[in-house]
Amino acid sequence: MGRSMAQLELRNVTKRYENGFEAVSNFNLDIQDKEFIIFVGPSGCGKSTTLRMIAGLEEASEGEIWIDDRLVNYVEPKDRDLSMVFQNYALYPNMTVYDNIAFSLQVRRLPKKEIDNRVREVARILEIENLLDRRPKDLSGGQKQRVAIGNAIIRRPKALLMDEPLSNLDAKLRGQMRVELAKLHERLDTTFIYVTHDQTEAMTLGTRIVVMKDGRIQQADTPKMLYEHPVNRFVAGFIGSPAMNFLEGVVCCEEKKLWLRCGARMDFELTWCSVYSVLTDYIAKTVTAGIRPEDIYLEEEYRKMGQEEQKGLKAVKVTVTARELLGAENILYFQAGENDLIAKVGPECAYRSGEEITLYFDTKRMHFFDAGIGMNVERCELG
Amino acid sequence: MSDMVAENIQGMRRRAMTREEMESLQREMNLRAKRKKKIRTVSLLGANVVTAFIILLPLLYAVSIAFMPSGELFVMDLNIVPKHPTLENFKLALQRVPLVRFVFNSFLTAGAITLGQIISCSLSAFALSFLDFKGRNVVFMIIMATMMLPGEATIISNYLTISSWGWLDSYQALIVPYLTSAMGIFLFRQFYLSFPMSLYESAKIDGCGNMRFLVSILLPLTKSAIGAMAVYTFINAWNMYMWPLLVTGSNNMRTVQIGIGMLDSVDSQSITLMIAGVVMIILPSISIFIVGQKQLIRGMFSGAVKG
Repeated sequence: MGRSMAQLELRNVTKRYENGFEAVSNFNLDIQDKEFIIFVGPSGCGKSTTLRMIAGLEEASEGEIWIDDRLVNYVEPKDRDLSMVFQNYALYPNMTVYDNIAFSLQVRRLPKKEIDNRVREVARILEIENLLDRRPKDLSGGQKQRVAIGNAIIRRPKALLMDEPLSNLDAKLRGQMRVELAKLHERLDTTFIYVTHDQTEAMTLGTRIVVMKDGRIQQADTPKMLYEHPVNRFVAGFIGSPAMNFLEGVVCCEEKKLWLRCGARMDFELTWCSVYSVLTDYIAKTVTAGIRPEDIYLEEEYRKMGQEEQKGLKAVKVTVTARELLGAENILYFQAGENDLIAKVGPECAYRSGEEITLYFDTKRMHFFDAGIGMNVERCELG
Repeated sequence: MSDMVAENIQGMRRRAMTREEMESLQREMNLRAKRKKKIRTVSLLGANVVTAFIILLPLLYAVSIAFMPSGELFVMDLNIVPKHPTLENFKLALQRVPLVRFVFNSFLTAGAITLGQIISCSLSAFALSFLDFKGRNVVFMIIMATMMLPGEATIISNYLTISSWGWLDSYQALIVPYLTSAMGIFLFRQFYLSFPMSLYESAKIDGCGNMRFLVSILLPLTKSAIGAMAVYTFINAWNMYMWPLLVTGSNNMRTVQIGIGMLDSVDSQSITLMIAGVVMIILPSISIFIVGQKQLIRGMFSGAVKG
């Protein structure tokens, strides 16, 4: 499908309601052509509001929104050349699937012949050719979703906006549609802007993810960067499932080595940490250490590792509190000192609640956050 | 019958039942259940018929009176059905006043009012529920407040206004003051509030204007509300008495309700004649209700139960 370039630029966009509440504050973002951008964050973080401001359904209180060098703050939604897929599909119940898809072209009075061609092309892409005569009420959730996408892409918009499009589907269908959306993005070659609260969707679909909280961008980066270098404690805790474990500790220097002391039985030698040099600035200060559940290993797993891998792994005696078998893996809930932590381990683990075991924490993959402002210490050095 | 069942059960205790016995027992039980259900249905139906008859009795009696010669009405013994049915009353009623013209006037007035209210109420309710503007709630409150004023309180000032425009004794006078209603706006607004906002937003992004959205999406989807509103308004307009009495003076403009009033005169009061007139004019009301009752009931309850 041929279409024009689309670059979106948001400059200091702020949304303030009449009661003074700021839903979005100082939002700055450049979106390149053909990107798959994801806005993710907990509910009420302003992600939907931002999307709706881009669509023109809400007016920005301050700031500028540019689409391809055109300031669109006061341009009507229909003239912005964007289209949107809503969470509840927003299909017109009184029209057939065909008319639902064709509606935006019919409104624009395109020749019937062309509308027909385009509807059939879109229906073929979305594999809904056999549903064209049906009404929305006769469709299943997944089919409705396809029709809604059909209605959005038929105009060949500059960007496709999606507001939690998969959250009304059941888990299995959501997985399927996720794969199809990724394919569709490849096929259409259009900019996608996608809002979700589900970090799995964000990680799997996005070429770039914008993590938001309280109306502010926390971090806008590729999924890999978000996972490996979260800028602050919030992003670290939000991305990844199960969520990252956090431990409070004091950085000490003993025997010419740096240690992190997290209470009784929990001392971590920091020699192999990637941010070792930065941590030297934190001696005698409190930091929050973050370790992902997948970076904690069972004793059996530790033994199988090579010597190089074993470097930096620290044994900790813990008490198991619960275990969940997810088929290919186990989620182990345990207590270490006063901390309740989670580990993601192999399926062979059979420990029961109450057992005392030894787990190995990979200090090489630990993240460290300033205990006060919650920033990642590697960022503190940069900033 | 129950003895047999009890015997069967006892038999079952004593020894294992054969297949035939089991089948006959099942048949027996089935039959009993069916009979029980039948009795229930019949008794419910009977109760309904009796209740309906009691409720409809005044109406049926009126129809019956309309066919009675006037002498038959005032007798000592009970006569519900006319002994010598006659059409004389209808003939006389039609001769005494131009009822056909009145019916036409009423139809025109009620029809125009209904249409006008649907248009004006749906438009204003659309603005009050979909468009975002300053003072929207204040405007709505003011509209609602007008419902607290009884019609009688404004009738004189309305009359003066109409007469100063020289509209007395005309269709405008009958129709224009009733072209909108707070009740209708309220009804439509409640309907629209339950309408998913995302449909409107989706239409907006699709490039659909407000008018087109209203006509091609909102109205078709709120058919039941419109039906309820139409029936309600039509019957109300049809039954108007005070206002038409005040503003119309000639037979050309009078509506049926006034016509019925004209059948009653102090000098020669004929009950049968009046009832004949009433029977003739309630027919349109009833037929409208029968046609629209499904819509009316669905419309009245649509806010209450999610369907």
